[in-house]
Amino acid sequence: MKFSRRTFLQLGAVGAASLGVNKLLQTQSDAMELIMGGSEVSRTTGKHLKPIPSTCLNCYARCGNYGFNAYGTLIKIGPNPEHPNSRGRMCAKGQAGLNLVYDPDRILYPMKRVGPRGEGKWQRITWEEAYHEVADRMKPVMASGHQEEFVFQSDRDITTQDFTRRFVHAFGSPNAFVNHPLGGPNKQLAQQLTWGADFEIPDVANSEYMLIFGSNPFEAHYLRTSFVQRMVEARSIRRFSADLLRPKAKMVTFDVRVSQTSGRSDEWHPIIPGTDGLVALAMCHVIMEEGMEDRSFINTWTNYSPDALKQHLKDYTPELAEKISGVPAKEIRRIAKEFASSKPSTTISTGGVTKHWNGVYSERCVALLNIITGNVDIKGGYCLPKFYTFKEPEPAPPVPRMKSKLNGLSNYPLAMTELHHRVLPMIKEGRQRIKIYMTYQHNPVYSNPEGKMMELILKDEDLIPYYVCIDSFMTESAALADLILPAATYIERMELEAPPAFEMVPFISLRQPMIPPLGESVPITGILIEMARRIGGGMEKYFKFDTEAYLQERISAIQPLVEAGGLEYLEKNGVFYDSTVKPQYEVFKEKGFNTPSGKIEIYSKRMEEQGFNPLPIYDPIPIHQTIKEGELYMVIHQWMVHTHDRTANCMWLSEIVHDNPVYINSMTARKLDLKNYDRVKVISKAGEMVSSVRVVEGIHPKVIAVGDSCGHWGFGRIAQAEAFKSQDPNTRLLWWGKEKGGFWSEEERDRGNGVHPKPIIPILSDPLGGGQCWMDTKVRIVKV
Amino acid sequence: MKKKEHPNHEAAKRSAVYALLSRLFLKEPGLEMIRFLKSREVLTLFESLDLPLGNEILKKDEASLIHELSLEYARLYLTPPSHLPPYESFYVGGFRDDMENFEPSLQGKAAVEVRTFYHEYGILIPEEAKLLPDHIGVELEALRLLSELESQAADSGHTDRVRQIEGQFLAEHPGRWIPLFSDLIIKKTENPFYRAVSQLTRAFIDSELTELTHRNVEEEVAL
Repeated sequence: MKFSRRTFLQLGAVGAASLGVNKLLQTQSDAMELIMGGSEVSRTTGKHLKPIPSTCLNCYARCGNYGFNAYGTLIKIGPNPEHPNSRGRMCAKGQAGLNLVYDPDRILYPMKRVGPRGEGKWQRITWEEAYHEVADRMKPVMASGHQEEFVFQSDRDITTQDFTRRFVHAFGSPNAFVNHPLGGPNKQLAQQLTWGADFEIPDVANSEYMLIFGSNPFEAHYLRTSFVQRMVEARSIRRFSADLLRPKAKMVTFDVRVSQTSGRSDEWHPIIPGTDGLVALAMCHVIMEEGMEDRSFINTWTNYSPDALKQHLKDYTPELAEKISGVPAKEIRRIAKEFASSKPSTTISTGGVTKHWNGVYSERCVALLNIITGNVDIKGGYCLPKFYTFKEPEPAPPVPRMKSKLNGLSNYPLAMTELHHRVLPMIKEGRQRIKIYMTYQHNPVYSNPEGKMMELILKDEDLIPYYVCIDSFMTESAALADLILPAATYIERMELEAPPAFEMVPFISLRQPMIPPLGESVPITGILIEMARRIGGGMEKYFKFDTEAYLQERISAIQPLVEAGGLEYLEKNGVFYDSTVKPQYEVFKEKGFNTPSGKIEIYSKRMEEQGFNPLPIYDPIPIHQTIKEGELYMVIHQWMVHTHDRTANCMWLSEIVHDNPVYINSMTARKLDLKNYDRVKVISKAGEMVSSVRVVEGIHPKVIAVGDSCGHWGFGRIAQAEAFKSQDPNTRLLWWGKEKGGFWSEEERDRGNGVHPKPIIPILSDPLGGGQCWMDTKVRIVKV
Repeated sequence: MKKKEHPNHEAAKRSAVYALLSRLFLKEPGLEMIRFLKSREVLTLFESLDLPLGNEILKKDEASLIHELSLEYARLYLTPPSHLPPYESFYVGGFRDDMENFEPSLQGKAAVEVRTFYHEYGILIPEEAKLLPDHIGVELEALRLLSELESQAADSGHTDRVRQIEGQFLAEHPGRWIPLFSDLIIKKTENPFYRAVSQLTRAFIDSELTELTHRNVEEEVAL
């Protein structure tokens, strides 16, 4: 095939002479033609980098960050030293926000499905068409009076949940599944029932003793960098406090495996999954038997007497705990006494305790240790969260009178958060006919248990007639949508944050765009405001603002901030706190606790009324009682560099963690005749997966552990460890790229993108909190 | 030796070719574009270029052709997992562009360089277009503008200077990745229209490189 230059130029001549290519461009180019700029064009060298203070959201800790721009390009994200929580520290995830925003696999235009759902055929449409289409679907639902047929779901949306709920309520539907408490629904319920807060803030910077149950804050706490830096400080620096020199804090960890935190603790005690509550109760037993409890605190600030409590704890002996949890009674006794005598001390407990069938009970047992030792909300103790709350701008839409049939709460009368993982299965069960399913940054096919089932539901056009996915990426779920609306990432949005304060002085932190939204992506607030206006029918009156005006209104009741300059102050400084406020401890002494009795409810009437045991008890997990020889417990864990389903396409992060072998104890491995790198099939009630094993000592012999966040099959290229199809030699440097079938030998270890364990985890909820039992999976292992 | 055309006219024609190519990469073909491509002159030209575009376009009715081309456009340039991001940064490396630290990324070093170039010569991308500076369509559009300026520069005697700038931009940016990108698209698509567009683009860029940068490539470029 030969091309001659002359012919090309003829093509140009034809265009110019006959129809006129130039004319064509003028009429159809959407103002694309480049134009010559005037004298206002900046000719800066780009050498001066102006920092833009903002707030990270690559995990839920929400640290302060700075964005540095050159020539309109974000070239670095660094920490903001002025941020009172993160204090100038930033983790890998925060810095890799750059990968997220410039991800070549981002969706930059509204895309409409063509052909069968999930086939992968798309057509670009304009925003105008997209809004039109959504409004045309939503209006009839509103007119029919069955607004509940519109369902909105978002995943771990800690920031804009008020806004998205406002949208759904303004539409008139009760089906807004957007509530996401830090630490999950089981923690929230346990904490609320006990002392009327959603979660605790262990004041580790000032503690002398940290007792950790099922938690890995060095890697995965929901307030990570802000939290762990204070733990490290307490462990490494002798601190002057009042008039004495405090020793370095001791750290003791109960966990099924040697996590990053266990490995850096003074002591690690392996424990049978789901028995943390029992060990905590046995420690309470010892403390009360030894008379080491803070009787006056219990008498004054709880609703249960020390004697009655002692009676209740009588049977929870260390010996019983040893029998069931495997932790030696001798150790339980010693640690209990150390904890009680090292005031201020605190416990730290997260997913390893709460993501079980007995999560709520166990969390209450752990909290009890702090309560009986009087470590509640004191400096260095187990503290109430201190944060600002925002105002909902008026007029606020009324909460729809109709109750949601999909929140799952009818079977969980005490639960405070909708059962997110059950929404799609309940649609399948026919609890509620739906017409429109809309999601924001929610990937149920990947993130929910039994993901295969979620996929089938989303593919079923009878169950889900119309699926609108608002997201920045083509996820496993977005691939099944009818319409994908490109959302701006957290680096391109404006939002307010008020995370709990580690310095015990509440603060507000602003997230503001470091760059304008890439392509045609739009922040979620902008999308919903426009949608509300298009749908109309009265809902538009709740959205008579733009994002900035909305945020301005949100902070209008916080007087000191308004006086300092409101949003303008935040835009300049990134964070605000009232410098006249002293660190707040023992706040309950003024206002009591936010419970019906105003006290800590060791005895919960609310639980009793619903037929549950009102006291902190050890509730054996039924599925664990039927475990047979050869069966193991599978637990999942988080990585330091990943946030659930959202970060695997970040190059810098996936280079660090991209695969997730099955960790198994050497004794168990010998029994099963397994060596390092052997290929195994892990079989559960819900399905099976193939992975390779790593034989280690630091895990309980009855447990296998698999990391989360890996094994994507429909996210971006990096998440799938696909070497790029480019001829550029550089692109081959995705060195962990996989061939079909993965890598299974020692030479090729660390290759591929791992497996995803969630599809084989059965749907199961704590009967109290309703939270998914991520840690209660019984499995068998077969060598393949 | 063929007689050289008057540079003035040649530049105007080149500008028109760039305009056409840019438009083809920036947007799905619409009715007007299809009709333009269907015109007798253009079809004859494509035939003489040995690109089978003409037949395909003639066979189908306009509405279904537009639909089909929009799907292929999305598949090739817009949606993962199938797309090849049409941005220079993706092919030539990110900020740390040494061999050990390749970072596939949008808005990489190349984008900054391209944007700097635009700034330097006072070229603005209209904000409402919401396009990144190193999009293939934007780079081609920049060449459209530059060659148009060249055609206007003859009167003031600045032709050589403008051509030099064109050559520099072409060599430093479009020239170093569009041939690779075109080849990847040709490999990826079965659609004769997009194959033809990519072949045309590749060949034209090669030809332009020879012409403007005096690279040692023969005038007749064999693929």
